Amino acid sequence: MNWEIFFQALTSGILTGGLFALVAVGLTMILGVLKIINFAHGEFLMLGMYMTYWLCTLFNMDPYLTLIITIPAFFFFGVIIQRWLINPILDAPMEIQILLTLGLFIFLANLAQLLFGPHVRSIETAYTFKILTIGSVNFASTRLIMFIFAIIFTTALYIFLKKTDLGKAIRACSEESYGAMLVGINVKRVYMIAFGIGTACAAAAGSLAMPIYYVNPHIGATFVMTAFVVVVLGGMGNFMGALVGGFIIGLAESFGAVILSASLKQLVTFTIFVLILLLRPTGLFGTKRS
Amino acid sequence: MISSKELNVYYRQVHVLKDISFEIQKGEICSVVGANGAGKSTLINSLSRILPLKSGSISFNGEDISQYPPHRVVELGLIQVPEGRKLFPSLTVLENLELGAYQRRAKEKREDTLREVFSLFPILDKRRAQLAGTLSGGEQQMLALGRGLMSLPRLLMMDEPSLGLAPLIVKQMFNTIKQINVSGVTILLVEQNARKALAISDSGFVIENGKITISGKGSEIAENEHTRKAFLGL
Amino acid sequence: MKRYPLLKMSFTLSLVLIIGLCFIFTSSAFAAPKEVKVGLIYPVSGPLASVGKRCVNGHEYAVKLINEQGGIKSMGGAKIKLIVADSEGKPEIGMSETEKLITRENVAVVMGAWQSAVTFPTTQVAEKYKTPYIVPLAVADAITERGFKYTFRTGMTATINANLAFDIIKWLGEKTGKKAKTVAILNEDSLWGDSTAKTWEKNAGNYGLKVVGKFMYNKAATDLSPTITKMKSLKPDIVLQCAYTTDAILITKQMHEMDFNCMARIPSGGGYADPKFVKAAGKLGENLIVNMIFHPSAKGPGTKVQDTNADYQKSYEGEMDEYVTTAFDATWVLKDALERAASADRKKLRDAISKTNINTNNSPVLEAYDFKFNEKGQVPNPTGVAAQIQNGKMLAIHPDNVAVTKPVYPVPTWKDRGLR
Repeated sequence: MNWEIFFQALTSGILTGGLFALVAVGLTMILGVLKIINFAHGEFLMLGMYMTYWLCTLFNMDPYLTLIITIPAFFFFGVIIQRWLINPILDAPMEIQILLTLGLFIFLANLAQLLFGPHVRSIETAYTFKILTIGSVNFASTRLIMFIFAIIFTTALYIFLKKTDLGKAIRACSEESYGAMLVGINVKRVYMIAFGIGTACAAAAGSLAMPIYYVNPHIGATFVMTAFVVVVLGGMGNFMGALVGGFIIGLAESFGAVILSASLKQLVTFTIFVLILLLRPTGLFGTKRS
Repeated sequence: MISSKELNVYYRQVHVLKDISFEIQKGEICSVVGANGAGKSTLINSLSRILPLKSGSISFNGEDISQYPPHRVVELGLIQVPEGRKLFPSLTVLENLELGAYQRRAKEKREDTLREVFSLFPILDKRRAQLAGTLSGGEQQMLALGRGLMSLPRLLMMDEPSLGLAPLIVKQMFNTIKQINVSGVTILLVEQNARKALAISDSGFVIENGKITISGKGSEIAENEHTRKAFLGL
Repeated sequence: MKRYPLLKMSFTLSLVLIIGLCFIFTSSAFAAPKEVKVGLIYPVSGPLASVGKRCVNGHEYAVKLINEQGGIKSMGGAKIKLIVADSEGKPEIGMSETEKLITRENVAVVMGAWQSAVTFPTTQVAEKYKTPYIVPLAVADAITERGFKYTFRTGMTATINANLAFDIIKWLGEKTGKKAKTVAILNEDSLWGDSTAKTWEKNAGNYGLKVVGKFMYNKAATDLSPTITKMKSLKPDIVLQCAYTTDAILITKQMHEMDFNCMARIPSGGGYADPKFVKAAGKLGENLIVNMIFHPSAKGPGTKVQDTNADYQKSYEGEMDEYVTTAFDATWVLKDALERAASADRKKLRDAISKTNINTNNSPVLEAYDFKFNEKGQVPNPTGVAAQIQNGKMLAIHPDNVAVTKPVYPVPTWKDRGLR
């Protein structure tokens, strides 16, 4: 491996890692607060991509401008799903909850297929042809913008969770929902907000990815498999863990592709996954829970 | 202050509370005495509106709260300091206290209350930036109580506040409870340590198998032949 | 002589009965014209559904024409009835669905399955049940290398298809005087990509080409820029590719991103032959040369291709691309065999298929080669079409007898095209 390839792999890994982090942060939030494994997370990403696709195609909107629509729209979509689908089964056994999110995953994928067809779609914007070059390293401007937005969103979310009362309430619910109830936090409402935020993160990631990738009804699984690894790597429900884990996996895939083969890069990812489960099941940032 | 009428509560399939009716006057300390599993914690959780009522009603300050969700009950000033504390371990001491004043009524006076809590428990002030999970048992109990006070309680329900504490700290705890009561907060106390609890109580009642068997003034209950044998170990 | 009339009466009675019975049998046969059940196995749901559905369309369209023209005449006008099973793109599901088609639906013949990885095990199922299986499009060589008696492939093998890529490179060099010397191979890692890539690696030397690098990836990849960078450092003249639609789009975008240039990228059909790719890749797809099994821009004998393609588009979305056409042609091969077998019996049908001999010039089939099978069940000399995207349109450039335009070669760099 020469330096040119090294720096390219480093750049690609970090840029892609930003996206993984954003997807994983949303997933870990839902997992941490609601203790629910949301298998439909990738489908929210996929629907976010479609929303951006259609807004760009039909109304000629700038793909990044669509964020001001996708984020609130999917926040409310998440709130509604939580309110009507997940809240009613919160006390049900875990298998039931898993079945529900799995069902939602299959439903949304098929709904997208029904509405939009199985075709691959992609958008071409003014940004598409702007490529940035630093030394020998090339990257699309869309990739950098995606990265910057992903970092802005995760940072904003981090500050929100740390500094605001609602953010603290969300953390409180994720730690000790019973205690949260006793201090007067409307736990079900917090659940709705948390699910809404998680959904909005996935959809925002979708909007940001749209100018780079393509969308079809099955794209969600591609991203969310990686996001699950990131979440486990960082410690289930751990925000910082998801953020750092996103970059670790991004770099691991990137260097895995160079050193081994692109065909084997998922092998690298899942090797990390298995090692973490064996050596540190709580994840890098996880703490033991009594 | 608070009263219940023919309360029936099930936990899972078990009929835990059977026709519970009682009343606590404003400004009192009231002790609930009973064996493990008699239904004391269930009673407190029913009053906090965490457990659904099968039948009966609860009224607080003249308001029927039978159908209220838990957070509205907190807003009214009916506060529980739970058994096992239920703190937020990876949040700081300060954040735990701040969350105590989450409801609007308490939030408005948050800074003032915080000062009062810190003067009551200076150790919490010293540990304000520390994570709650790293505190000692006694400090955690203080934090739990402090968090409860942050909610500006009108009625404070304490579930086993002395559980697992060293004798010296238990003594401090009871002093603090009296102090809180003197400042105008009505208190409902559930204690294993029934003798100490009844000693500071104005009234009390005994729950056996989900039913109130004896009720009256604190001193009356402490002297009752049956209670002495069954719960006070005399 | 009293007994004679009795004998005569019983004889007459028997005769009447026999004729009556015959009449009942034949009349019932005429009353409800026979149906020939044909099973299709394709990925009609899941990520590959876009292609799977077009394959099904090709079969459906041919069946529609056959039935409108009076069905199978030797079977009293029996109509072909298609039963579509969904492989979901997964070998194990393909196998169980094929088994269902054969045992529950009792189909006379199975056709499918586009993906080599699914075709491979499903033909095995058909072989087990001695049911003819016609493969219109699935290129892994091994499919017809196992000595199966019931598997027939009307289209390319990977080897033939791979060598066509070299023919194109050679032809481009001769036509423009600019000879390519080195190739890099970039392929997805399923059976199709892998087997094609291995053939390229093995045969490049025979065409005077040097393989400087071989890269494999999984089609679910989200970022291939490290791979492309690595390939860029090897400076190949030509990149030979196997990709499905989604990865084709990703690679095209990222080759632009990494400023990867070469004389030409010559992918083998797959995703690059998908009209959705042309649309999705937009300007970035311009001047790509695709080695295809068929393309409707190709000139055929008379106006057969254009007419059929136009008629097809009255009922279906999109053109008769290689997926539609290979399925369409295979269905006509089946029709021809059914006519000769005059039966839906699996054994008789197999024998009839093996004796197929269709001349493309006087048959509805669209591909420009004759259909007959060697002892392996393989059409020996299928030809393809190389098409280039010019001004956003795929146009046939090779071989000369089907070409409609001249090639743009070497392909201009991204910079020269004003895209960087």
